[in-house]
Amino acid sequence: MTGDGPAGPVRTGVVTLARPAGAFDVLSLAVPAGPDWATARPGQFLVVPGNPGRGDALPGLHWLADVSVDPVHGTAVEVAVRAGGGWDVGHRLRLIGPLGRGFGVPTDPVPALVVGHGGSTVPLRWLVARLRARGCPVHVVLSADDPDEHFEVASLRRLAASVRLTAEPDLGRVATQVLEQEPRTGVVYAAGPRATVAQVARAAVAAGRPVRVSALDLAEPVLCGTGLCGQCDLDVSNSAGGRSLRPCLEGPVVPGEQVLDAPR
Amino acid sequence: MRRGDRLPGVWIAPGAVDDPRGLLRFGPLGRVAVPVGPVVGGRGGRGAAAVHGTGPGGVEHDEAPGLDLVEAVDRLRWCATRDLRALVAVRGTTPGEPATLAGRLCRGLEGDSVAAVEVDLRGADDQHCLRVLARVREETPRDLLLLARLSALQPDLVGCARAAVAGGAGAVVVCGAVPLGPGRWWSGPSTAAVCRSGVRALAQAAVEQRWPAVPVVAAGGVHDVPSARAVLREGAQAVQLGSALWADPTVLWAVLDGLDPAAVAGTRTPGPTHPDTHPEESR
Ligand code: FES
Repeated sequence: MTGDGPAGPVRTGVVTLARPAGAFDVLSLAVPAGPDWATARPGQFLVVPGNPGRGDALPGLHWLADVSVDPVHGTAVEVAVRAGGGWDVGHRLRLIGPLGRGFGVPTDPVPALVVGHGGSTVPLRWLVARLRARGCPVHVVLSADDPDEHFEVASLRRLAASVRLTAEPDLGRVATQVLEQEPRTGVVYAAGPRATVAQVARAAVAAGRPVRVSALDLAEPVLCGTGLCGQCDLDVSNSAGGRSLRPCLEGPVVPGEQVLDAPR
Repeated sequence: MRRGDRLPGVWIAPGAVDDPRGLLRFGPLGRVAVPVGPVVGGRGGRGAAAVHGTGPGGVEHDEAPGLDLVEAVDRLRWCATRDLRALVAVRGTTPGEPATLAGRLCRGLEGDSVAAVEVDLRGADDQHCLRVLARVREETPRDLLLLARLSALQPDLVGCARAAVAGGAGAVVVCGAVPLGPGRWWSGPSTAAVCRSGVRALAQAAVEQRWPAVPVVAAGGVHDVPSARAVLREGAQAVQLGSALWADPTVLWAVLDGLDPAAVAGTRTPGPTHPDTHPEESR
């Protein structure tokens, strides 16, 4: 490496395991150890650079589904990709990440509500596991356009105090119901398309609960994930005084108040 | 950077990277001019152009809405506090507007960070190029490097380049982006051949002494070291990286290292993290 060549979170991963999970394949990647894996959080993501020479003008972006750091067995990272994506065991690939700011867990073991939609729910099993490890009872509300997109619901049922499945337009209403039934709920988390997380954020704010949302929707067609293209920009001028938010750079996890009335 | 100085081999396209903070996470920016702009008169947008879609080898996008002066000063301050040099790109709706914008930024408190000014003249005719550049020349420090951004597809590329140089341009940027109607462009690796054709036309015209040749920067389709070398062989002296950085921001350092004579001579070892130096990557 030159004196000032690319530093930062660029590494090579190897697919060591692939298992089907509904609409997804869950891949385990062996990656070189690094301090940023030990501090990785649900809500962070990986960028797989595009290959413009072969026509891929854009990179692939993937939520981290889990990270395990083991001094003996090495560091393993789980991501979920669309089923049949052609990532076979032994496949080597360059990765940039972990990028972004993930979901933090509360310092006290307060009950938590986790809400998500579709492919954005990939990080939620890991989040719920971390909340449980902190002693937080967790209620989960999920929706998906295709039932196969419910990600690892069986694991979530084992970890969470309750799991409710609903339709996307009802996520805010069901979240409100859970908050009414669980008045001790101390924090709300949401992941999904922008309109969906805004809906949940409004419900949480109306109930007076702190809310953290993932403001980046990886299902959007054009994203660089590295803060350069501006396609993820969120106009938060109404809610936070005349500026726009670049979730892949400043988030993706941000206080829900920032997305309350973001038009996009 | 002064007119006549040796031109840096690698530049970043102002329209493609509208916020350099993202890049800084992947490596230092001391070897390149940080793009600021395109700066426009009146109220700019937030800088990022809307992308309408992607396809094999490129993206279809709008013209970058541009930054207003206030935002541009902010970006220049960001560069100044980090001791980085900036390439200020200006665009105007009247012949005098780019000059006014460039002049204000160069004379401001952060003016010392301005290493060069790029004027967007894609689609202009030679008379317009001459008028605009001459005004920018008057409003900016005498020896500051001015670049004229021209389209490889504009009808009289050589005439416009000649006029731009007559107006005071010290380098010409040949842009390979394909116009798709008013305010819409197709950019990406598939435009490399378009860009090379423009560079070739200027190189040939220089041989025939049809314009007083200044260094040419190739902007279009450069996405790795081989594609950079290909356009340099056609006669360009430098390359500008744009949407290739969306696919992989580390391409910037790979191309910097790849075109660095010290790295080529073996006195520096190229970075280990890019495909050019990572044969084991299988995808
Ligand atoms: S996805 Fe490109 S800037 Fe956020």
